[in-house]
Amino acid sequence: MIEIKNISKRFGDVHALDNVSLRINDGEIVGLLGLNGAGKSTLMRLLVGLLAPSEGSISIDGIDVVQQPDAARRALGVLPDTAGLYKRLTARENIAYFARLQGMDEAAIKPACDRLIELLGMASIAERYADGFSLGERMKTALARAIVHGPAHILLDEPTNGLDVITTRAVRRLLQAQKAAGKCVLFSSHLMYEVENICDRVVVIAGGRIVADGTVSEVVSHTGCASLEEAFVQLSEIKEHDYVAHP
Amino acid sequence: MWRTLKAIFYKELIDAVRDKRALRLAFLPPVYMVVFFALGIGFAIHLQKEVRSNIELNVSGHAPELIAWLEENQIKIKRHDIDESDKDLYQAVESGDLDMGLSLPIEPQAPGAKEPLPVTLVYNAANQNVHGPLGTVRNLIYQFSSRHAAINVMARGLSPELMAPVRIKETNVASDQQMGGLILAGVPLLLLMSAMMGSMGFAADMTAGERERRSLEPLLINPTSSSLFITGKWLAAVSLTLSVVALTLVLLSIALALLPFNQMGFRVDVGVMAVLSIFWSLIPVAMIAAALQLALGILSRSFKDAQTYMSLLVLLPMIPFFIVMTSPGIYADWQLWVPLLGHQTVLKDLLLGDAAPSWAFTAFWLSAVPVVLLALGFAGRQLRRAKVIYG
Repeated sequence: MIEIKNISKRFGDVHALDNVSLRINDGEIVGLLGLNGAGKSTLMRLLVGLLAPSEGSISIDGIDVVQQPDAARRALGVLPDTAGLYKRLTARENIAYFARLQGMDEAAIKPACDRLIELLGMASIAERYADGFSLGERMKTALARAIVHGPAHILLDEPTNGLDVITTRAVRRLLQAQKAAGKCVLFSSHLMYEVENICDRVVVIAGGRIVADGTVSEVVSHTGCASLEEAFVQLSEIKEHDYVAHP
Repeated sequence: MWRTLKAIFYKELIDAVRDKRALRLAFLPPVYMVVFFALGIGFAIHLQKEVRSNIELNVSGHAPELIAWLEENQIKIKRHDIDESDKDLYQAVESGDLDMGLSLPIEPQAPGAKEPLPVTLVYNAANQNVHGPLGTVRNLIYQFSSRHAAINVMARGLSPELMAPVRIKETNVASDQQMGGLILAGVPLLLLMSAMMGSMGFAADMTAGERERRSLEPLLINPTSSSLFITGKWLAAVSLTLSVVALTLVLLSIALALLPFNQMGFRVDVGVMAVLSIFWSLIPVAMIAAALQLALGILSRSFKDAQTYMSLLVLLPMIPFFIVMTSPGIYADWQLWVPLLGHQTVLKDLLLGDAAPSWAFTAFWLSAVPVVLLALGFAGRQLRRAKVIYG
């Protein structure tokens, strides 16, 4: 379980996040929606302890992220918004390096890599240097790298960005499998249908605040709109405006 | 922890070895530095030989053995023929027609004579041109003298060793060999530069390169402490530097062994032990260099920035070089504790075949520790700063 309590984050005068509270239960896939600059990435960065919150606390399975960042990180598999692969390592070497950094047993690394390479259809690129990878190939490698150690919970920043249909489906299956295994999955996306398809819950973030939280149908009916997209646009625009008008 | 450190070390090593750009940057300079060095010395030796073979000596009087000896040693003998003793030779030198002359007895000495052979070197000390050739001729005459003395002593059943209660070992920086001294003084600088520069490209890629391609964020999401990352990167950088230093030393040993130093009048005999000692004393330099490079690299946003900052590090060994060059007498024991300053003197001693002060290596190693710890500690703290990760 991931629990975010009254988190605020300020960069100078800019309020990136303002009193955000959120709980993600085990076995739940939560979609995080927000415009560019709404605070999604900041929230992700706070969750992995790379940024320290100005106020509030975050705990992962009861472990405080600020106080025990390494313990918290061990429980997380994270795909940040930058793939940041090592160009002169092959896809497999990139994945195996992170497996070692996560402290996996040497004997377990190869089978884990093999499983993900098969699952994400990476067999043709596994032994190639990451230098010439397409966006999709980079995403797949970064995704495999993020979850190779079998983390308790998964945070993904726009995981299906640039993936083709086949791979997107594979990612979806992967997330469903994680959910079935009782893990928290939090993923941010700009793709409404993606969120509608696999999320149990949708959280809309605008101007550093959570403006909606519930199932897709709850959010849609609450705003009185016909679709999630319209609901999202309405929520974002209103709150953005609100926020600027009354800081 | 060791397993993680090993993983980081190997990853950085593999990454570096596959990086053609950084490899070229690291392994080419030693090659061309040594090649230029060898060409320079070769040219100097050539010039020296030229000067030596062009010494002309005007001689009056007779001493066939001595003249044969001088000719054997590439001195061009010119008769300055005379009727009455050395008057003409004196005048010629005095008037500046000749640079110098050698006046010998009018009659050749009888074989087996017991008196010293009276010879007079005539020169004008105010004439700058005369000093080099004069020293050479004077040395040759002394050599001739001591050879004959040795033969005489041996003929009487005594050891010629008796004639030399003192044996002088010459590490000569006399006027005609100053060029040689200069060149040997440059070798420590060359070695120190290769130790300072060796891992520049690699260190830049490990720090600024990570920032540039934005791979720090995914990297630091792993439950691994930043000091472990920095230590792993540092170990890889040190290993790479040491392979560069080893290459430099091997090339340099080959150059020193092949260059005809004896023609310059001094011996350069750098043995295996000396090379190993030099390598041993350069390890702390490599450790300091890698640590400083990582600390500077992490402050740089891009590979290019990092190279600009790091190239300043190359200037560091120049400071002690010029201190030692301009005032060779100021060596003091405390200098061993100043990284790079003590190296300048000790490396030169080792190259000349002398032993280093016994605790020089201890001093080098111990003085490197605080510098390395400070630089790595600084780099480790920078690594986790949000500005560095996302900036």
